[in-house]
Amino acid sequence: MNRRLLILFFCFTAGLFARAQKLEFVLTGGSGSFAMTDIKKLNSDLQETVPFPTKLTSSFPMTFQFGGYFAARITDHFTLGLIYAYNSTGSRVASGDYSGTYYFDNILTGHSFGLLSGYRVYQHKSLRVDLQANLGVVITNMEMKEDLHVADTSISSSYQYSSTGFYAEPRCEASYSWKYLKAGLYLGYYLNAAGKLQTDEGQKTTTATSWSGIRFGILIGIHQAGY
Amino acid sequence: MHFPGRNILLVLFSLLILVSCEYKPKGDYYRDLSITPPTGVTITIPGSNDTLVSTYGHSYMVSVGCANHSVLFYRVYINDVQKDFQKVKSNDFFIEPSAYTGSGHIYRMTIEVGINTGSGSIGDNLGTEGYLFRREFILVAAVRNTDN
Repeated sequence: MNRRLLILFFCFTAGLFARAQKLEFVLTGGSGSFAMTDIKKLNSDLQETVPFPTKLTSSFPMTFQFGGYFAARITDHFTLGLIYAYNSTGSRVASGDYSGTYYFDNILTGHSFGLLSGYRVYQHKSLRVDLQANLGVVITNMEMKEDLHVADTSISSSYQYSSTGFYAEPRCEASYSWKYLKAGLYLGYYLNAAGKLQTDEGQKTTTATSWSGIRFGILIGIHQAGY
Repeated sequence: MHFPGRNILLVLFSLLILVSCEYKPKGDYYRDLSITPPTGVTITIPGSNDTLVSTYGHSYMVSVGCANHSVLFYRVYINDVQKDFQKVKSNDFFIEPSAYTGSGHIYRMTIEVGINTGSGSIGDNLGTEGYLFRREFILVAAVRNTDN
């Protein structure tokens, strides 16, 4: 069923692109915040369970994210396209003293694939402001690592999890065009319906990943003349 | 001109960007702890001195005085041969010397106790570090009635 929908989606998009005369390809780079509520709770539960004092030295900080989109101008105001974004964040619970060290790391990477729909709300010469409503799926991979070194004993374990969830991202984009080039800024909010993590063997957990948070950055791209 | 390696280079470049942008956990939390070795540790069997007359089936309480430290385990040796090992959660525990020996003989019994460092370190909390203290007793194993 999902495969058929995907094929239908691509046929629909390809049709639009074939009809459209004005295309653009844009690369984006920026940063964002990440909710990760469940994994933050997982970390605090772990800190209460571990029999020695620990500190959360890193908790899902804003990191560099990049992506891009390929869009077609369907009407004077309306744009439709495909959008991709890469995010990575994580956390660390650490402890150390003369007797040894302990680290509990979570490393998350998220690939967002979606449909971009934009509406031009303002234009003055080459300066444009677009409002976008982007929808899609985010596929998350999470690596959970635990390392304990005490005296001459070392215990290391690593587990892989993955999740899939839907997202919606209202975004405002201001850009300036010059000949075939385009550059600008964007600001948005990423709403992620949390996807439950599951192991490589398909065993589901009760912990979900949530990439929800603000997004901002710069964009640079190329487009056809008269875009 | 078509350059077949270009696509491969593009994919490799993209992968390189992905890897370089992957979050890398940061931060350390080092606690500068100091260890103070326990002083005045005592291993006693209340009501007995260095010589213990053991009768069959009789248990003796061993009391370890170690202030704020905790006893992790004890070992009992008879003539330098380990006869018992137990993890404990109290500074007082019971041993049954007749279980380790025959009757009608004199033995050298050594009680060895492991005490935590109390430093609060990772090793201390996991019970992988500590101090060993031992005390020797002369054990006189009384003749059992069944031996007569």
